[in-house]
Amino acid sequence: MENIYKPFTAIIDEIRWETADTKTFKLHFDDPKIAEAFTFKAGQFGEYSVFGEGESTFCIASSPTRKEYIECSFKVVGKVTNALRSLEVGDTIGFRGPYGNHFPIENMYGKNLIFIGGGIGLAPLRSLIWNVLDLREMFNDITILVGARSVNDLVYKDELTGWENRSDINFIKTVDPGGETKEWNGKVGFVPTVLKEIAVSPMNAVAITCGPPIMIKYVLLELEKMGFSPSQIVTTLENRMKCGLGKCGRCNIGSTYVCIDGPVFTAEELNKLPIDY
Amino acid sequence: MKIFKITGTYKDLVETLLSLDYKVIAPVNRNKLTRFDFINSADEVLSPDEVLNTVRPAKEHLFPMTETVARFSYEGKKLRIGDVEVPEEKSVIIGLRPCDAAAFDAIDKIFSYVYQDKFYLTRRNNTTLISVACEHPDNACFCTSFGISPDSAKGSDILLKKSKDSSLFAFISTERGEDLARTINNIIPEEQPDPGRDLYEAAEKNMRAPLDLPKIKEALNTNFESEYWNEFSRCLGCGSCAYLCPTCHCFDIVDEVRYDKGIRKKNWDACQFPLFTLHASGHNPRDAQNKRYRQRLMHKFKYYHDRFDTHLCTGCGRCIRECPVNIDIYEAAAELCGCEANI
Amino acid sequence: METLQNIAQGLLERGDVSMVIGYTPGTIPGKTKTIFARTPEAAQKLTFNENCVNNLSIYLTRQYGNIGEKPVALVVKACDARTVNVLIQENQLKREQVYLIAVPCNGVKDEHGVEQGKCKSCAQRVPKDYDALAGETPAPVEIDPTLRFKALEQFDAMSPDERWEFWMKEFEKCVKCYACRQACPLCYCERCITDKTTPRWIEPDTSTAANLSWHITRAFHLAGRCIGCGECERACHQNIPLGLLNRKMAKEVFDNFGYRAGESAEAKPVFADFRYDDKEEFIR
Ligand SMILES: Cc1cc2nc3c(=O)[nH]c(=O)nc-3n(C[C@H](O)[C@H](O)[C@H](O)COP(=O)(O)OP(=O)(O)OC[C@H]3O[C@@H](n4cnc5c(N)ncnc54)[C@H](O)[C@@H]3O)c2cc1C
Ligand code: SF4
Ligand code: SF4
Ligand code: SF4
Ligand code: SF4
Ligand code: FES
Repeated sequence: MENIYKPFTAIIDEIRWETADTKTFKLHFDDPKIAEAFTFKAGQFGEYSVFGEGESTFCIASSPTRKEYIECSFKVVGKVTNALRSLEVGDTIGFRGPYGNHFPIENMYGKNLIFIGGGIGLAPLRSLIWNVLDLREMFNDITILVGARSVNDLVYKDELTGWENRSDINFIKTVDPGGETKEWNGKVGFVPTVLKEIAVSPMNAVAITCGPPIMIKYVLLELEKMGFSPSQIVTTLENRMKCGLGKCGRCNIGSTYVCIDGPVFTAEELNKLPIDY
Repeated sequence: MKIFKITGTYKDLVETLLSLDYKVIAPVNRNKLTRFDFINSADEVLSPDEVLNTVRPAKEHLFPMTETVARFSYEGKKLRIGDVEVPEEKSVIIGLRPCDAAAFDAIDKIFSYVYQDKFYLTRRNNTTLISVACEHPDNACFCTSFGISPDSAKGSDILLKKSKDSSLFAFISTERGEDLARTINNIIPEEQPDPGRDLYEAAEKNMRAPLDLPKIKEALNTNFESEYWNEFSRCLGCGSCAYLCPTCHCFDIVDEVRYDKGIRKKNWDACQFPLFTLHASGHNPRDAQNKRYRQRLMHKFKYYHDRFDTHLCTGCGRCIRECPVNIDIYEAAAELCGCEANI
Repeated sequence: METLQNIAQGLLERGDVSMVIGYTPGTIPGKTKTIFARTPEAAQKLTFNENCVNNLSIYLTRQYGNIGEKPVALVVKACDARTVNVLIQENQLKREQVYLIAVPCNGVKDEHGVEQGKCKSCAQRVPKDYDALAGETPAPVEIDPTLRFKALEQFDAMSPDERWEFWMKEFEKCVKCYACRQACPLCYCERCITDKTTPRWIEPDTSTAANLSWHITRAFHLAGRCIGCGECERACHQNIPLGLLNRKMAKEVFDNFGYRAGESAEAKPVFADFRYDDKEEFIR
């Protein structure tokens, strides 16, 4: 039997500071055979480890269409993320995955897509966004609404500029009131408020959202008001995890194990779960 | 099911097991603590008359409290990750009660669905379970709620049972059990008629009345927000219930390192601890003790059943005996569905 | 003479307290459970008997969130009241936030009928300080105060090697559930040192070394604070004599500073106290 707890090794090829406390790693698998065989879908996650410090759960933030590497973005908050922060290009980390379900991209072909991301919550969306952009003709209109507490808290700044400049994307960026700078050319307002302003149509549409729990809560309310049915809204959850394998018992919401049955859920599925997340 | 007669006493049987090519694990009292441990002589073993349910269940021999799952070392920047082999050692656990044997059946499910946990499963496949039927259940036992009984063979490879005249019989449920039985010279491999369950029928009468599990589950489907959960704000979050439960299986994964070498370990953990579900953001979905107890009860009587069609409790009574504030899962389950707790 | 139920009922009827925390019969003979009585009717369920071992003062600690605007009434034995004193001394609680209903106690037993170690040397039948007494004032008893440290004699007679071996064998049993900490009314730290991960001070596994560091740390954190209620030892299902460790620390503190934890809510905690006549040079 295989050892499900034994990670692969991955080498850090590139490190980018996204914000004062968030970094992105570009990684490739050490073992060419694993690199060759590795596939995943947007929305899946992995267990990244610094040996001696432990493991941490992050989504795979790069697109499955870019096969040569994977990327993850993490916010420095505790033991493992602090250890990750101090690593350098060329260092090795551990990786287990991919785990969990994925965004239902099969159900999105030909539809209008609305992405609503807040803070580091943009990371899982980014995987899907690039996935969709790499297969652009398969989808109808694409709207991307990105928000952060302040200008400095926006992640993937270069990519945001790229998206902004594309004519095939309706791109909106916003920062919370007080978080703007003099040069800021985006909107000022909380994500749900801005969402209300831009008033997207639920016709033939899917909304995909991720961000802090409080943002998700109001975004869901706003979308519902706009006429989105719960099955048209997709989000991803971040319960505390350890194993990612449905064994360690800490990520459950009722009978649902977020690491196996999630982390991606439609609002319809979430409505059926007890409020234990 | 095959029924064989046993010659000699229980201790003789343990003696014979020790002479075979097995590691033998049995109830002992080591340093004022009853538990299952490796034994070297039959004299160490607590006989079924000396102990009903050990404080610590046999679980730790298949799912240890702490267990290395990977090794790693650095040579400069070069990292090596080593696998950990689980030895294919044959062992036999003798003296466990039907509730403990059935508990392994329950946790087999979690360790084998979607991903196979080789640490648990390798040991499981190499372990033969010989349980003993209970003549004297105590006032915390409630196995009969789960289709188990003081002489149930569920989950056991071999169940030892007495007839009315105290002759000892081996009830063999599995091939693994039969293979072992045939190498034990105290067991006569000739099928016998069922010696009856007089002793155990009598025992069963004094036990807590079986819970109405379907009714409990129905109640749990709708009472996530019930006031009754406030009862458990008295819970100390001590985790004793989980650490002593033969079916609790939650764990943490942590690293340990000395200089440039280290190990990654699984350590027991429990849903009764606040840190168990604390998010990095500081948000905690189970931010109060009654919510943590609700998780425990729901997991046992609903969630696990939803997923695996098995309850995550076998009624061994350990959590009832050891809870420092007398939270009684039987009473809680009964009262949650508006039933009288029939203790 | 007023009964426990009457006192509690009166308090709740007048709205003097938000609840009465006390004992009620348990599900197994010899066990009692805690009840948070919030209504006069619920007060009738209160009971006190020799099986009321629990030290209910734990429910006054912040993590339980029971202390609000109104005081909380607590049923206390003499030993429990000493814990309340420590909580007050350590600014976890104000005296006026708690209404102490004292119950005369002749010693308590666990469900197996075993008298608790602490009771053997306890001469105090009622707390020194309380707000109401449920029952008669009991006749005073004479108990040799040195009995408190009697259990240590045998232990102190051992050689260091023997003692080491003794504790190693005991700690080997520890499963690191931290029930001892959770049951302890004075282990109220919002984040226990053993839960801290950056850096990690105490390894979370159950190797003997990791267990040893946990127990030494805990014993030190309770030195001069532990009043000897025995809840940690009672909560420990592995039968580790944790009380012995705490008692040893209490004896050191008593021998060196003449201080006994929980005697008075006004006393300065021994480790917060400073004397010019301290016998140690370095401190002056
Ligand atoms: C499916 C999934 C996907 C995720 N994707 C991402 C992602 O893409 N990017 C990302 O950044 N995060 C993501 N997360 C969250 C991420 O897993 C956690 O932020 C991360 O594991 C924290 O690890 P850590 O070891 O640094 O924190 P730990 O050291 O384990 O600490 C965890 C938390 O415990 C608490 N804590 C620790 N010490 C203290 C203390 N002294 N006092 C009080 N509280 C304390 C804090 O809340 C702390 O952050 C995801 C989570 C899930 C489940
Ligand atoms: S929940 Fe309690 S009674 Fe049920 S198996 Fe676990 S310890 Fe035994
Ligand atoms: S619960 Fe049943 S099987 Fe377990 S010890 Fe009691 S009577 Fe025996
Ligand atoms: S139910 Fe009892 S044993 Fe379990 S954590 Fe709460 S106080 Fe401890
Ligand atoms: S209660 Fe006992 S087993 Fe649990 S951590 Fe404390 S000493 Fe160890
Ligand atoms: S993360 Fe371990 S069970 Fe889901």
